[in-house]
Amino acid sequence: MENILEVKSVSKSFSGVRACENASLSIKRGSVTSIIGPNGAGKTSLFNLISGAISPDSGSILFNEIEIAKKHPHQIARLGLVRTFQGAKVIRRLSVMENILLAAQHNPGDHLWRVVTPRVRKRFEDEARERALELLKQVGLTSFVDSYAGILSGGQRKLLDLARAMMAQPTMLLLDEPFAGVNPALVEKLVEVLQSLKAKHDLTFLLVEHDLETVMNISDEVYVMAQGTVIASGLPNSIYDNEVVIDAYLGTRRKSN
Amino acid sequence: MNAFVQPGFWIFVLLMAGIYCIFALGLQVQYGLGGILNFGHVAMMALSSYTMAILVITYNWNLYLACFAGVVMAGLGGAFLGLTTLRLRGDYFSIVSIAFSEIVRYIIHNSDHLTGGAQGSLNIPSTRGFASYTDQFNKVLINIQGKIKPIFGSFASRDMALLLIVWLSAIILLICMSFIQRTSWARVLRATREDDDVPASLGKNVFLFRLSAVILGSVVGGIAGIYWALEFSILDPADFQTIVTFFAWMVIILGGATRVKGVPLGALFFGFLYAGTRFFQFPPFTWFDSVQRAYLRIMIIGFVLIFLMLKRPQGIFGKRAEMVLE
Repeated sequence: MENILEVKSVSKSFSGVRACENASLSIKRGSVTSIIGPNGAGKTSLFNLISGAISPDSGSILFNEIEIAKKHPHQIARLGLVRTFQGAKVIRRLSVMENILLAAQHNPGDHLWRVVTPRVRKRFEDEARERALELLKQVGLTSFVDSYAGILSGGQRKLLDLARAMMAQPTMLLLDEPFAGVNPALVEKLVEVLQSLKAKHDLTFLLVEHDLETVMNISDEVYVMAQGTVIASGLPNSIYDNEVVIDAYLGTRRKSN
Repeated sequence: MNAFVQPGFWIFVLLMAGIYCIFALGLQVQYGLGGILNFGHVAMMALSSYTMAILVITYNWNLYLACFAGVVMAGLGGAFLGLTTLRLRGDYFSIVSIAFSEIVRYIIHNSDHLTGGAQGSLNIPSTRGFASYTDQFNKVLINIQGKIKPIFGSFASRDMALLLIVWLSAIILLICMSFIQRTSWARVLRATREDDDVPASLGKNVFLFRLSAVILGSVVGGIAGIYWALEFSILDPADFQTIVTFFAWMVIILGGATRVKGVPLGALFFGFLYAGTRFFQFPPFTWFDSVQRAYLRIMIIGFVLIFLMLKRPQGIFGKRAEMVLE
């Protein structure tokens, strides 16, 4: 299987504090890969580097063989690499529908001069709205279409965040702690949604997550980070038995399943 | 007869409300949609009006061409302000925008050979011996006055003719703006009010959206500047002090910053409070002389704003529901 994302020896420090040091990842197309590690291990920093929110001091990041290390977040998103945020960022004062429509790509209405071509705008909006409704149905938020996103609960916001990212028609999704602070029933639902999206759209997922059980269940490959660097990687099962990982993160030996 | 009951006075108040309506509409695009706290909006009015006056007086340009150039200049001013400072966040942008408007005012104040300096547009170098930019326009107004005479009778003054033009422009601009607010361009801007990272992560170039909002708002502010110049026939750098920007802020806060239709209402309300209160001839206003009353009106606007913030914080037309979302 070819790699969709290659992170090669990426380093980043903030005024002397090393957030990432020589971190490398290879993500296979169509896979689910998770990054685990203790707090402050540099997982979110790595996400920020990949998504362009910060740029690396050194190293390279290739997405579909295109160098993205110096690109802006919006340029990276347009290439099909879309991220969600820790804690699910929704635009509270936009409706649920508007939140999703925000992600529609190549919207002619995004150009100010297009105000003079209402028909072109409307045709696009109508199609986008249909696609948005479909996505909302998939995540089970159809009853909130016209509500402000600000009234949604934490779990619903995560679903909206996911649906919105999907609206951007990504080929790869970066999910930052998608299961954090979510009740077990909703975790199940989220996993279900993820898997159905993956099957339907031939997506690649990269997750940062602490919920080990879920990580082990859904991942094809797991990377473990500590102190800014990747200390281990491999199949989920192999991680449980890795001494380095036990020392740095797991604390005690867990039973692999 | 005191000024308060003269129709001419009320026509003037309405005319000024119309100019403030257009001026504040430019700010509404920036703040109401994009949450951009521009405290230097008055600079756009100064740029457009002075550009127009200089082109007509010194370079003998056709008035309408000069008006167009003035509005373009305001747009360029917005582009300059945006390109240099929009990467600053919220409050920092506001501070720099005040500085920008003051720099523009001081340059106008001190460029005697170009702008007429402290003496205003009367001192702009002219090849014709007199520094007036309204000759061509006055003929148009006289023409309109003639046409509206059968309808308005003795009220068909110069101000009345200009009032009609200004409010017609304001209505056209209001309609344009409400169309613009329904586009996805506006939706992205409303998202940037709350968060930059989300729209950027979805492929939107947040900087470009903000920049285009500042330029659009500046162009609209520039149009207000042209009407201002045409109403007063002379320009003075002191007309473009920072307080004028805050008048526009009062207008959009009174009307409700997130709604276009709040702007004309806010402008009328402000125009009435600001100009009208100076001429109230009953107690407690009669306890003060006219100079004191000039300050009293600003205090009254302040009290009205405080009252409004307590009772209706979203403004007259604003959306309350938006304010309680966390």
